[in-house]
Amino acid sequence: MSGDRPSGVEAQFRSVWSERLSQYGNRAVRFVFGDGVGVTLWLAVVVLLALSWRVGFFITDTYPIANAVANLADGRLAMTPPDFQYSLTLGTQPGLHEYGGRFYARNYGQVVAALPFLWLLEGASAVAPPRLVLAGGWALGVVGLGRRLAARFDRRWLRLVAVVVASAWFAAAVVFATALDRSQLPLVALQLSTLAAAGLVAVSCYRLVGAFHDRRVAVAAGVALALATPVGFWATIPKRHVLVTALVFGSVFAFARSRQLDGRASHVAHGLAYGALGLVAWVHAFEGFFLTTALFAVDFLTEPRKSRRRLAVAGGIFALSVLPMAATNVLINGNPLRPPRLLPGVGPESVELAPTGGPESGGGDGGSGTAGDGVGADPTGGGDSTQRTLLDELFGLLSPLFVLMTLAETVLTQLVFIGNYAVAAVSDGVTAAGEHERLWEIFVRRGNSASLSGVNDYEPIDLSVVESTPIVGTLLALPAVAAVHLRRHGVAVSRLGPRRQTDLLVASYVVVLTVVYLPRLPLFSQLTVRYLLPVIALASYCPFRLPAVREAVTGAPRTIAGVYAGTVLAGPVLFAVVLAALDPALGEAIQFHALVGLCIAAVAAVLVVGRTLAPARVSPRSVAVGVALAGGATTVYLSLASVEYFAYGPFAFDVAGRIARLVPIL
Amino acid sequence: MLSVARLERLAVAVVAVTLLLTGPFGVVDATARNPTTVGDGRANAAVERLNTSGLLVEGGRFGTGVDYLRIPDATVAVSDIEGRPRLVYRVSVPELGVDRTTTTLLSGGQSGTVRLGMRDRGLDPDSVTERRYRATITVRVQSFEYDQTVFETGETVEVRP
Repeated sequence: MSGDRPSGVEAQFRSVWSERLSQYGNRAVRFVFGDGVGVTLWLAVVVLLALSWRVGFFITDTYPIANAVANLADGRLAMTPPDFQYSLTLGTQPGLHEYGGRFYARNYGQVVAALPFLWLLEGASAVAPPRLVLAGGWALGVVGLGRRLAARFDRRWLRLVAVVVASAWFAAAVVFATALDRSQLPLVALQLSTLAAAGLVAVSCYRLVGAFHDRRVAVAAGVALALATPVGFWATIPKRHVLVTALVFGSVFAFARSRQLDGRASHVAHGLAYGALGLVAWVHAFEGFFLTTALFAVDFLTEPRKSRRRLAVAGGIFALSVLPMAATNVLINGNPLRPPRLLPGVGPESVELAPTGGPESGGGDGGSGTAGDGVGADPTGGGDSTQRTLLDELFGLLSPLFVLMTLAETVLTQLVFIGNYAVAAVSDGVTAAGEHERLWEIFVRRGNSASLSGVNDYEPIDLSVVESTPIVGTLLALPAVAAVHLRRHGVAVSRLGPRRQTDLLVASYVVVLTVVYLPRLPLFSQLTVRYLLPVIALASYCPFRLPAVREAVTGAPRTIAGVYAGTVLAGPVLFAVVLAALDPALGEAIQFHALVGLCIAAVAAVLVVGRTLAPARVSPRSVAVGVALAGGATTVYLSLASVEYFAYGPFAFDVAGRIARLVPIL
Repeated sequence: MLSVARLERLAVAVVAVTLLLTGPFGVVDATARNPTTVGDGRANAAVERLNTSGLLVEGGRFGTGVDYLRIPDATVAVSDIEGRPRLVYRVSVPELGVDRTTTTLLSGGQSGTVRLGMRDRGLDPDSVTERRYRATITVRVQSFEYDQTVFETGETVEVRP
């Protein structure tokens, strides 16, 4: 039976393998996206946000990151000036750091996340022109999206529409194709990675809301997060913010699940809440540090199940998740807890969230021995001794112990240093939180701050939190919701359910990130207060926890979808007509959006507060109109910002460029 | 009759084949028709409309709190384009430290009028101390082998209170 039909056995073997592979695949998809709706949402967000994608450097901080992507793909962690592919000089790359005569970027988590995309692009570009690879990928995405939507809504014609759109777009891409040099691929890969992350923000928010509420509310929240907050603005501008936001949402979702589930699944989810933050630390060590502290505090206060097993799982997953950061740091400077941000910077002065310089003691550098002959190791430790005595041999045997001790000392020194810094950062932040003018400029009306305007040719291109994200304005209803809740249910803080525990975690993340960034804000080139992007995203999730907003989504789904679609379609045209008549400068156009955003935020806030306090007076439908307008205002700004206001590079799709040329605003 | 599924497969196949045909091993260079950089060449050009009185300094609106040098668009008639020259529209106001240029690539078969828009330039209100400034406006046709100024004028920039 076994000997005479080898081909049958082989086929069986293969089918077992392929079955197992597809099983793993399905499990991976479920782990990342949750369900089919999650996949569809991700695809839709990515396909939509890609339309306004420009291949270029919007902010100079991206140069070292893109250089690092190019170099790491070639197997080089340490860079020397001849290795710079983008922006060749040293003074033009803020965020480039030096150690031992070599140069390093930062945010290595982000750099590594871009590598798979680069490999894919390079593979495809071996047989096809990079420009059309992008267009082809987009077209395939649209066909796939059409199939999914058609199946979901049981509307076959959606597939036909998708095929027509995809074919037309690809045909236009071929007709208008301009060259996209292969040297741009690392930058394109970096942009693709943040675009994918923006999709994940939407998916994580969908899953988070879905864990507590109706699926329709969850989908609305997911769409809102990607298209009605500045997440969409930064989706193809490859700063770290979107990636960090995706991980933070992942952490919140995992936390929420850990509170809902029991047993092993709960332990793992609990660990993943920490694990996501460990990965944040690989992107930005200090954001990771502050977030982990906040998670630990909330976790400790609210978790009744403190079993040893649970702690071990969480500890294990967290340790694994910080390993990439530690390994990167060791390879660069020998100290696992000294991220590149703590190394001497090359180029313009930085205002980032990181202390200046590292601890001065020898302990800081002593650990470089552990890197051995690693890429960036300090080259001083390798002197050969000429006379080895017995004592030396003995010490030699003990040397691993010494290395461990040096390492422990290094880690300890670094921990004390980080601890001191954290205390200082928080106390600075608390002081700053008392300055009303600062808070007004960050959160409400940015306008023009005279001291900062010289930076971008005196153009006031920055928006406040509410100006850029009017849906956050609906949170004005929070005190009203709290008052109503307390009047009905009284105070019961002692035993919070999973939902409230998660709310507490979201609030802690928001507070801790806001506090540590407050002293640095308002700042130039923040556009949408980008340092606070994770905060804004979390705050944009909060409206979907308000009963008034949820009722609007479930009670008037057609109104909310219709008004949003109408705003998104008519809004840009209306803005273009009005602004073309006003003939504004760039700053004027953006401040016009700011004022419109503020007005709409006020309307939405009044409606949500009204619905909360006097449900009989304000219908869900009017709340739906307010919320949809608020979301639409941001989407309109996002689309015009990329199409018209910030022309920092040619569009990834030449067709988009042709369309943009027709918009006569500036 | 074609089913939707077959159409989908067809679209995917067309995309794949097009990619291969236009790739390094393919037979067509899809990007050759759409150059993005200036080359050799020349063209005839004449400024059709350039409202120089629109060049002025005034305060910004919508709470911008800065002054703006308003820069008018230039409409240029172009003909007889050979190769890949470009149009250069330049406004300079040395006393305000402003020197702005906008360019547009011309390519064969593009005869007609070309609108060259230039964004207004933000100014520190404290730096605007005079009532008038001198400005120079030029429009040129330029390529690697050719440089012809088709419009040049000295203008007075009014500062509006």
